[in-house]
Amino acid sequence: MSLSFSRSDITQTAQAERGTMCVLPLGKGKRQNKLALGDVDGVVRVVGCKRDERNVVFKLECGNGAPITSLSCGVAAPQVDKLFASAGNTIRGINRKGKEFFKFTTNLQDVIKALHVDNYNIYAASEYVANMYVNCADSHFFMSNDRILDVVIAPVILPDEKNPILACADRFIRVVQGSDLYYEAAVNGVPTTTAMNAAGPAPGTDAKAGKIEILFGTEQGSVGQLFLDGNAVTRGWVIDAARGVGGVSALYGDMDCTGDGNCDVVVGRDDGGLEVYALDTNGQPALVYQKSLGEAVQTIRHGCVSSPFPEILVHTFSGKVLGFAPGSDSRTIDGFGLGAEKTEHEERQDNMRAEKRVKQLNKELEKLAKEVEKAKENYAAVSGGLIAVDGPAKVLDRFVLDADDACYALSLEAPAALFSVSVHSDVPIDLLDVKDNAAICSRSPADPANGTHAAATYRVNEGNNRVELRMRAIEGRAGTVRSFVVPRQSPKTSTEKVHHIKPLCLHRRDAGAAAAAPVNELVARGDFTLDDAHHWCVVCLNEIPTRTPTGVEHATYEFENVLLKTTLKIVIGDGEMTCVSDNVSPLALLKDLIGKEATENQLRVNFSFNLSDASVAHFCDRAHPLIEYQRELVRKGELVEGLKELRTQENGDVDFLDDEYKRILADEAKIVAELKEQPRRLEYLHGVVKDFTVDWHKFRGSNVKRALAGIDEALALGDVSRERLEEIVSRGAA
Amino acid sequence: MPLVPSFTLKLDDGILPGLVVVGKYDGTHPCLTAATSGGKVFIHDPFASTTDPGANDARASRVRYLNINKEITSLAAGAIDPASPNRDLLLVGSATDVLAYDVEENKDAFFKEAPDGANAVVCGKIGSEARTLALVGGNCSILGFDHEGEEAYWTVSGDNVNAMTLADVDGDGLNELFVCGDDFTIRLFRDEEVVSEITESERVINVCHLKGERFGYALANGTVGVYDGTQRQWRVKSKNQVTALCAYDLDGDGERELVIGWSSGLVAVRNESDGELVYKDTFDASIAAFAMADYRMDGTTDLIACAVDGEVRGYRSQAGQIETGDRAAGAGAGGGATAAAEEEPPKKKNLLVELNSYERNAAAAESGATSLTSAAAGAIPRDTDVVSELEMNEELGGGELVLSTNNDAVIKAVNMYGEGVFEEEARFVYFPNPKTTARVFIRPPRDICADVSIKVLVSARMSSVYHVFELEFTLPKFCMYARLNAPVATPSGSVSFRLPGVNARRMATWIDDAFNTNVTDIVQGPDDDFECGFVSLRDGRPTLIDATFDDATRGGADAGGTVTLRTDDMDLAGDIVQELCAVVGVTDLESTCDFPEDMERFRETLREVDERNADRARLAAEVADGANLVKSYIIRAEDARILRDMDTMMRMYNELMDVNRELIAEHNKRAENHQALLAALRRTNQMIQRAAKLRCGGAKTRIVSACRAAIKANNVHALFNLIQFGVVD
Repeated sequence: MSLSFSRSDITQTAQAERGTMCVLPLGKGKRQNKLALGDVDGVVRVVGCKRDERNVVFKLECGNGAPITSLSCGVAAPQVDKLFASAGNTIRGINRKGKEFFKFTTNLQDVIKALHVDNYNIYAASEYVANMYVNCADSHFFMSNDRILDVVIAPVILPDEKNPILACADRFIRVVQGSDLYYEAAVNGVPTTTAMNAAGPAPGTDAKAGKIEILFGTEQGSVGQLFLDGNAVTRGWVIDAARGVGGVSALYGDMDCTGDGNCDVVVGRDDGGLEVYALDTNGQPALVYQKSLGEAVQTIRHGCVSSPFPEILVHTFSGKVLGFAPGSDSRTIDGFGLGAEKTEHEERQDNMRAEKRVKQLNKELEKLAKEVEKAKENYAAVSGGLIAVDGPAKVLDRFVLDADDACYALSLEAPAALFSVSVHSDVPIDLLDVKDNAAICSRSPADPANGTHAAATYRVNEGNNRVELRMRAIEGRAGTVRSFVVPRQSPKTSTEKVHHIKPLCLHRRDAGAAAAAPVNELVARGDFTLDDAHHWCVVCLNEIPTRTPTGVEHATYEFENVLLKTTLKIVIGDGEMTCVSDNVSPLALLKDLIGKEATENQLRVNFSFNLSDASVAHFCDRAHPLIEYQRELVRKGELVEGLKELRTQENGDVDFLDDEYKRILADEAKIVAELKEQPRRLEYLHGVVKDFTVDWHKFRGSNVKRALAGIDEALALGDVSRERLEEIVSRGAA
Repeated sequence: MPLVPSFTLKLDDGILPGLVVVGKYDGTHPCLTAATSGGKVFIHDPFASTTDPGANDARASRVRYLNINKEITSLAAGAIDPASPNRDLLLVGSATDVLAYDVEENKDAFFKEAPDGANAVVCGKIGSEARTLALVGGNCSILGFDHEGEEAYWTVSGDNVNAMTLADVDGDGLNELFVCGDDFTIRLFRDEEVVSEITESERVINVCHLKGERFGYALANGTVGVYDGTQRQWRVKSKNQVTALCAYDLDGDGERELVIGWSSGLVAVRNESDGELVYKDTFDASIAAFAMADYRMDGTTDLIACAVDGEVRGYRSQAGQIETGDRAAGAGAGGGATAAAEEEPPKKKNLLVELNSYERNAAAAESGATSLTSAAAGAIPRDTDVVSELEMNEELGGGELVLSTNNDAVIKAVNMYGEGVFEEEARFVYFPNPKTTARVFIRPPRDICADVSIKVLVSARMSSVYHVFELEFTLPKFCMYARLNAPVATPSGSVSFRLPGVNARRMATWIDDAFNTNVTDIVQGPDDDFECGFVSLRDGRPTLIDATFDDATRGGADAGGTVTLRTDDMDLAGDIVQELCAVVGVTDLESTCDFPEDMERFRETLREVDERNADRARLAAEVADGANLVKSYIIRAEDARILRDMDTMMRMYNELMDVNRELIAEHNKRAENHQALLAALRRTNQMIQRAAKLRCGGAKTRIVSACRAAIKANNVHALFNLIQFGVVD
């Protein structure tokens, strides 16, 4: 099955938050929906399309300058054409004519992120709290352990009572009943978005009948399906994240693009990816369409806005509103055309219309340019140097550990074109080349004496407002990475984004990480509380909830090292903290850091540890293949040029070559690209070996730091066998 | 806007980058000629008769191969033989020689040694020379050959010549020659004279003429741009390498666009006036070269793009085919309106954001800029300004750019862009403890007059939002030379010249600008003689300027001053002379110089050239002997084999092996000798170039040609006199 979509730009708002677009129901006798949009300037607007004109039905300043953070239509029958918008902690109701008919300031401390209005019941969720108001009176209150990232409201337990279903940053989907947690389901990533398939489970999946179907997307890029009812959670399919894709930032599961009677899944990502998955007869998803929009997708909806035909509607970070209607060459599984076939006459008409639209666009542009000029003059009269007194536009940033490459990806996106992005780090990091990056990197000399271990400027190619950088950090070297984003247009204000590299930066939360063979244990005992121990975890590791879990005696966190695939399990409680790993280095780091933190807070901590002698062999088992692979890669890289020349000399006939060389020639592009993307990786791996050696011997009471130079030399010689590596590490000398 | 090729070909052979030409060897049919690996050239003739006897396969007969058996460095085609003015000869350049080959007659027209190498070859008429020449650009030199291989043109250029192009720039009907090379410069020659010279920030690898004084260029660091005369119009930079460059009017609007081929396989067509991307197309492999020819013989010249994997695509000018859409629509010129309508141009979005930001700021400013909320947003007082100053610091061995604000606002970080000033294009400095004054160390690796654009991130203390102040700063060309405070030993080298029409004040002002100093303080009247000294912050060598001026009351057209520069750095002296002449407007300048150290080294170099040449002749003779031995051994061994005298055969073959070993050793010696010879020749050319740079205008050209003549005549005495005094005796 093939799907193609034709894109049309519907309108443009100011920068937009997630979930601030909704489709109004069809008016009487109308064939096209109107679209409501909110933006960060606090404006709600409703637009409609008539032929090729886009009309703004109304535009209402209702956020008092604060960003609109959620926008939805009412759910109960009399409210379906009413809009409910939240800005700050205030909820407003807006009718079709653009008049505010309702205003309610909640008692929530933070900004309302999700809003659901069902007659007199209002469900509102902020950073940590999910509240329910009945007749504007606080009736239920639930506080989550970690940040709430998205909310779906559905009757899970009782058919006529709705439950908030929360996607929480500590990798749980929680179902709330009243003020209490009903149950929670662990998912394989940080769930950033959830969506409900209102049509319910696909027919033919009887086992799931009567259950609520929920989709979730994670920061790591995967998408999954859950079935919920009053008894339990049933897991459906999971779409694993492809290598290097962005996190899921928008999800929609209520539309049937493929016309097969089953709802399809539309996924939007924060790197601009837009994907459509169709469910096959077994209910398994298959990718049918993929496109890159170049900027973060904030909201996906569905409706007939730009034409009387259904289309996918997308609201992006910079405020673009796009429609994707099935193209005329789209076919369903049984060969039916999905898009409207066009006759030659219609084609011509379309072209004429398009031409008209281009003219209109140019006129608009001219008008806008004049307005900008005037605004600039006005402002210049106030401030000669065009110095901005107002803050700059928001910059969307994402700093995540890429498990496949064991490096950090930093993406920065602004609503308007960028001029440059500069990066500064106070710890040693390697800035890696990113293929297809829209920016040119110039590295500046490091100045460790003044706290600069890496600095670089990326000059962004014209017309881009998104940049992705990659960097490799070293475990144990915690620090700060600052990035400065400079826009192309004036008044120029730059935003600083600060990201922290934690000491155990290569560890990621992994609930399923089984404690593998050798068990090394570090136990810290003392007069500290669960709170203190939790704080230590926050300092050392990523993805630990910011709030200490309440009402429990112990909390357990499990991690995996993405480079060596070793595991780490931490159990914290009052007065005791146990760390178990098949690797020694994380334990050494934890010991140092806990010691430091405890001294600072004048807490008494005693350590006891129990090391397994099998650890060295285990470590070598993990590290050696990585080193060997990298060395192979370097060797292959050196051979590529020569082999290529041989091939051309022999007019492409390479039959006489050894199979190995043939393989190198076949993978030539991949090898070169991999080498380019991962410079100095071998040194980096050698560093990991040396760190382990030092840590291992330190635990056993000897200092081998002086022998490091020798180890370095031995490793650099190349061709270190698995046995030799183990010998070097266990002796702590070359 | 994607580009649709009008025809495509897939050749079986790979194409080496830059080595493609289309020639009409029989006078009518264009043949695509390209170098492929293994020292071979193939000629693809789309009009070759397919009924050739013995050709089973129509395609095979269309491609012919020439074995050159050495690395091909350049390829060109041109009708240089006046006897057959329509037929192109194929010129193949290698590291040591140039071959002119008559494809039609299958014979060599000439074979000439080009000791400086043949990095680039172009055919055409240059300046007042009536004949069509084959111009060969090599190591520091440009040679012109006529159809018999006689030298008809010679001049020197800075370093390895990378590309040349002939064009009539000034519309006088005579061609000028653009030459670009490894010394970062693009020169324009009229006859043998350099009429303009532009220094870029990297090795210049390609140049192509657009119209009038406009030309496009490409640098080794992935920069492409356009100059109008000496003014840069625009430039863009990419991570990829530029592998091909040409000018072609693709959209048919009568103006040629700049077509750029990239190592990534991208063909980008940019508007020559503003650099806007109008078309693009992507190949699977790196682009090897462009050619222009009426390849289908239907009267229209097509643009032909070749990739290294042998893929060839032809593009046709769209004159009269598609209306040129409105460029403002963003999607690109020539685009059907549909594409533009589907995707709204980013321009609109950017304008909206800008408008919004002005409005918000204006509103914020009205409501009182120093209110609490805006202070939280990191607002700085509206009258904040940032000033920059350059301070040279002898101890640090470089300069410091001092940036300071005029109030409490602090400088958090500085971003500086300047080609050739930093290790890479830009430098970013972050100040962990921001103050109102920031110092950034600058040490340009070469003497260049560079514009540095500075972006200063300024904020109130304790804020993560910064205002960006944009400053332009011009780095004086000789800023790395600090004023001498104490007297030093006089350098042994010197150059003296007379500057007509320049008085003391003018001279002092120029020194102040170029050296970032204040000599004007010591100059009172227009005829004050003065002296000043500088020391290089790079190597600590001194430079003294000694200027005497005619009596101001004397007047007269030739009143002026005499300047003596004392330095041991001949290159620096040349740079100063060139810069001074350009700024004060002296077009013709004769000078005398004495650089004993350089001259002594030059004498050594000349001796080495002689020795190496002699060695070469001797080694060549030895090789011939060896080759004869080889022949005789083979014959004797084979004779023995036929006679079944196995012992003799074995002996002969053993002997042969020894001879072979010797031959290889000889070859290595020869190769080494050749390398040394090349280096010496290069130094010779560079010396002539240096001597020329101490003069200006006509005197400069005269020196070059006279030096060449002296070298040919092997008249060392004359050569030295020329360099020192500008005359033979």
